[in-house]
Amino acid sequence: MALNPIENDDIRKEMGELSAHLPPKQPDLPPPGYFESIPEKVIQRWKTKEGEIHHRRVLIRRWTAIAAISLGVMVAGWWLFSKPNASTFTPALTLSSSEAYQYVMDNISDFDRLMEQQVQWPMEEKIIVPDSSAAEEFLLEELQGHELEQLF
Amino acid sequence: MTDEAILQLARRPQTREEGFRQLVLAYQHRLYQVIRRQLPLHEDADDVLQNTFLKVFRHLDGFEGRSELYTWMYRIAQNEVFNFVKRNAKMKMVALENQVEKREEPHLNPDELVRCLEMAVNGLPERQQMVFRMRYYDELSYKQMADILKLTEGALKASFHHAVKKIEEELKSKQWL
Repeated sequence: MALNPIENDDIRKEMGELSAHLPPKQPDLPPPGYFESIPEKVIQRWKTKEGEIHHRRVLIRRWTAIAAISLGVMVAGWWLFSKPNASTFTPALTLSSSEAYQYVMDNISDFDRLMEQQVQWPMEEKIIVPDSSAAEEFLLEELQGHELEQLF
Repeated sequence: MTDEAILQLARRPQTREEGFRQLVLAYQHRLYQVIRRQLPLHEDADDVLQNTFLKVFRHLDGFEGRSELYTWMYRIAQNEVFNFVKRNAKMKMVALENQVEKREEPHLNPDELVRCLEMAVNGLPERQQMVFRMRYYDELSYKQMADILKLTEGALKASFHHAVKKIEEELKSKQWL
């Protein structure tokens, strides 16, 4: 049986009797030239991975920007179109009287219903107007026999 | 090149690539052995080694120097091996163990004794297994092991001693020693 295979003296002492029986530790050898190629291989993989991470970050930023813009447009659209009938009133304010007249004349049939409705006017106090004979009688009483010309 | 010099190079954007290259050159042999011991196929070990270095590169800025650089990288390598084994459930080791169990010859050649040793190690409690592997195969110091396992050096020495004794008894009981 092979004598102590362990290179590290401390470990050999700690192993005691057992170390004397164990065969040399055989390092597992990779194919020739492996260790010469590893640094470049790893660095190439690192560069590729870094490139992918950078590309992914750019994509994420781009999509975030697109999403934010879309959301902004949607909110603005909702805000504009949710105002009650704003668009219906605005043109009326800018119509000239002749245009308004023309519009009414062109669409006169639309106003039929309005015209058919019974308009209820507010109650007015009745003014009592005396008839002419009563007025004459009143004036004669006031004159009390005096001539009208004498009064002036 | 010292760890400090490698870290300085790797942390500057202008010299980062050179720093990474030096890091790989300094530790590729040791880490390859650690990984290969657990993964019998070179192709698997190669894959895990490259992934280990990629992870090291990515997290190097976060390395605070609380432990040695090698200890930190060793831990990353072990995690990578663990993840690889989880992904590939059918490990060659199972087949290897079955093969060894069938043998009953009292006199073994060195290769067979290595397999028997592996069998005996696999029969140890989990912590003793880990301590034995780190000390015997990976030749870590007790300080490095204490950093990784968060145990005292005294407790680790005791664990290693018990592990050695149990392995010895196991090998003797099966007349492999």
